[in-house]
Amino acid sequence: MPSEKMLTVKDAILEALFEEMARDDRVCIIGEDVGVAGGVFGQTKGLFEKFGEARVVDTPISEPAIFGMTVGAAMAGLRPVVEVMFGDFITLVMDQLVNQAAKIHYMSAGGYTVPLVLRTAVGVGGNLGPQHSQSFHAWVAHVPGLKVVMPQSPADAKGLMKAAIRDNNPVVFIEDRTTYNVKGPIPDGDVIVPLGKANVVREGRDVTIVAVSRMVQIATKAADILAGEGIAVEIVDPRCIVPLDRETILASVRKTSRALVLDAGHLDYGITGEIAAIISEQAFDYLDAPVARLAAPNVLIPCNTALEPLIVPNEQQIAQKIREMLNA
Amino acid sequence: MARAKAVKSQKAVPNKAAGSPLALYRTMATIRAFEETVQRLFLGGHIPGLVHLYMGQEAVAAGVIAELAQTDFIGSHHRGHGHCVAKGGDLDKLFAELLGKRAGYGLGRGGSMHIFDPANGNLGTTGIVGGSVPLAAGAALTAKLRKTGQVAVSFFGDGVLNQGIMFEAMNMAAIWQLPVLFVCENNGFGEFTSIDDVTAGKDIADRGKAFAIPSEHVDGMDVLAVQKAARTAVARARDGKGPSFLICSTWRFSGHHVGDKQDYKEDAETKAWRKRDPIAQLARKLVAKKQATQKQLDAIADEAKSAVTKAAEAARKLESPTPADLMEHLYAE
Amino acid sequence: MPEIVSREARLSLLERMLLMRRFEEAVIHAAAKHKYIGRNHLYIGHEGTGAAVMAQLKPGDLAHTTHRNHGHIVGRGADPGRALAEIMGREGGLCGGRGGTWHMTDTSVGFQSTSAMVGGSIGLATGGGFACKQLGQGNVSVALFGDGVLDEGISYEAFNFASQYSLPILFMCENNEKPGRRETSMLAADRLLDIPKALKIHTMTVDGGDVEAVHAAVGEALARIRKDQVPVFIESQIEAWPGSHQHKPEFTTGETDISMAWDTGKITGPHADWIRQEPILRYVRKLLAEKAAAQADIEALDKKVQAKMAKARDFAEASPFPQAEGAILGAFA
Repeated sequence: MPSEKMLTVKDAILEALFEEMARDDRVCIIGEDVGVAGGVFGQTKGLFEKFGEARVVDTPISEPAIFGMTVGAAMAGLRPVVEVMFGDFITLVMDQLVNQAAKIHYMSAGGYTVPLVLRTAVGVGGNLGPQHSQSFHAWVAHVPGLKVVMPQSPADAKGLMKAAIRDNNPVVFIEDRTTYNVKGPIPDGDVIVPLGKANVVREGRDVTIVAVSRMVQIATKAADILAGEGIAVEIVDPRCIVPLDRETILASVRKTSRALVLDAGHLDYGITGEIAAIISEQAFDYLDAPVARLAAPNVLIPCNTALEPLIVPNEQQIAQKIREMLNA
Repeated sequence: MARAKAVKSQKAVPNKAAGSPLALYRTMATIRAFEETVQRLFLGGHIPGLVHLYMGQEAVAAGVIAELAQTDFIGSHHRGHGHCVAKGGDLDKLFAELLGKRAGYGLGRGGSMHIFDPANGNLGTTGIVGGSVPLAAGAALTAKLRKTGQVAVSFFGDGVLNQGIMFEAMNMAAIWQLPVLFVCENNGFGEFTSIDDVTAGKDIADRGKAFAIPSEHVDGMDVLAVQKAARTAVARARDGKGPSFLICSTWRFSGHHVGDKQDYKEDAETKAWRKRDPIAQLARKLVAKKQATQKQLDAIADEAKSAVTKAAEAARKLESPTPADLMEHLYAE
Repeated sequence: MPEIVSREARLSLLERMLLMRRFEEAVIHAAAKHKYIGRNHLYIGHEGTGAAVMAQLKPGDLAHTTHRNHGHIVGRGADPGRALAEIMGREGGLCGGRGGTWHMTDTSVGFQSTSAMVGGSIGLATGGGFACKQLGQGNVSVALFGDGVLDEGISYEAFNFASQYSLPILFMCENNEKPGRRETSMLAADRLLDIPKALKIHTMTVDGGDVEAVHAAVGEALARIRKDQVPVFIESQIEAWPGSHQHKPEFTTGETDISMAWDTGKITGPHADWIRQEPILRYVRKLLAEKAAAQADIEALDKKVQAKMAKARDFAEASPFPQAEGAILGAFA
């Protein structure tokens, strides 16, 4: 498509920030190294120069108070995007996230809104070890009052970030660093991807894969392998795990009669269990095989080239699992 | 180290009448009557959950908030009714919330520790020790970035002195010279533990001074002293000169929560503090200086009492939330 | 207390510093040779501090460190081959190759923890001090951390606890900040020491480039900690190595040539100023000037350390990567 430009996921999100900050002067960026340094991954590059220190705020390394202040700033009329550098560090802001941000709108009976975006980067694969690789998306998804977004393509990442900034709720925006350099087309103009609307990334008749974030890309590789064997895989990317677009997932499963749910996070008590349960409860009569799941084993993530690749399910494992489902 | 330059913001002048000695007396009398009524209702089984009463500490809320405009922010804590009343909270809605009625600030779902009053800049009472400190600092950040001229006050108890988040918020408020007052209401006890047992250092004020924040001790039983200290601090904040730290020594007359027998306090100490009751103290001063007669003051107290009683009685007759209210306001539109 | 007088003690201190330096150089070589070597924060330039601390810890003392940890670990006596293997992700590593640089520990030499999270170890160190006191065996706990840790609320909570409960802890802050350089990590305090002081912790400042000065300060602090069972905070001011913020280890200032201590003409390049005052060359010059050692002694010592590191490198290179099956073991005790 000639009118579309190509951007990486990282730059697509950055473009969303540029556009939203230009559109609405209440939008500001708060976090460690987000200003002068342009972000430790270059994810806020140029914002400081364009919008200045009043709107791109470098902070001390004080996650609990940085986040708490963001909540107070949002209550008082800003629409901040606060960055928690690594997904693991979300543990440091859990109190203010769970006990303040998520509860204030409800407890004030709508009197206050808390329009903020907490963006954080996760991703197994950088050999960063147990304190810099884990993703707590299932933790935050468990908290009523929070929305949780997990983009995978550049266009989605941009459109979802814009939607998240315009949303009047605390939105946890979880980026996977392993997708940062994935390139893709970006539609022209002010295109919003609504929160809570799934995307059927690939159509197929034989089996449905439900996956978010990087798992969509790995699933696509598996689908390519299986296509060579005559197996047509449908991939549904919910894009947000809260709110979750159940209807699109269920419609796909009703069509294919088989479902495999993937996650780069831990299997036990994770999002695959939740989605599998929804499918089992609401599409049981359509299923030709038990709902299957593949996710990270319940173990910490070693900082090791030999061990780390065992954490996230790969395309071979996914393909094999689907073969088993079809032969069952 | 990066320190923000002073940005002078536009004036937001508090209502002068609100800060007159008689107005302070009225505010304190209203809070006292409010809390006495809450206590009675609680003991009568009409208030669900836990309530922490503000009796004894009235001078702090009344003195500080008298220096604020309606648009200024406050962050309150679990012992927060006094702040809500002083900041202009509607008595009917406050009682409705405490009694679990639909007409309350939070549809009666939050109760004592979750009262939010956006119309009056009240960022909320909270059940988390230190929970509202960064909220107030954050509201001050907004005020500064948007040049609204607003000031924020963070009220917290001495228990918060040992929460890391207080230091983090103070540090950032100092770096960015935020228009915020950190007001510690030091009533000597965090729950049932004496502050002296758990708080290091010679002087609490050193904690603010370490960040180069002007920090001072104030007699929290003397509403005029509190008001004076707050006036200086609020002016400093409005002039873009950054945060202040006020430590108001005070005493909670009714213990940690209603029903607390206070076995951990010395009787003599309690008696001494009771003699310094902020309301009686102000009354003595005003009468001595002939700024008011006892009769006038009694009339103010009676008016306060009847306003409170009326609101409480009316609230008792209100409806509870409906099952449909359970899911309301989970997400904003 | 312990001024270093004996020649053996002085040479031993230098040997410890050289081991730290040559170890980091081995890491840089390994990083060049292998595809993956992780994200390392090298200890180059900090040796004067680490060596002075490690030389004076007793076997039962507990050490806790941060992301810039290699020097601490090998300085305390961990096997350099196993340490290097850990950084290279090998099975023979101190933690079986799972933790890598950021999570390297060796409990056999009293190393409790390394945390890659800013402030991650200071709470653990405080708990270690609590345990030392309870167990009553005269041991102390040491927290080694950078200046950025003072941004984190947990450090205040830890200081308060350590001070109030009189815990035997050495808070050893390796401050490599130059005003204005650490753009995003900011502290409102005019002087870093104001913070522990506000919490009534005894503080000291020392020139981190002068290993004997650090040794004296640490000796005095440890004696006080052991005797009085109190915490002490030392700020060691360190001239940061120009490569200290690199992600991939590189020879920013070249491989250390010990003869530069006496042949200063060899010191050239953009970082000559740093090299001139770096702690190892500085100490060598001092030892030579005071005739505590001859050039030949120094060269022999360096050779000995280099030979030790050569063996360590061979060990690490020969160590295999862990088996895949091992990945899912060890999440629970």
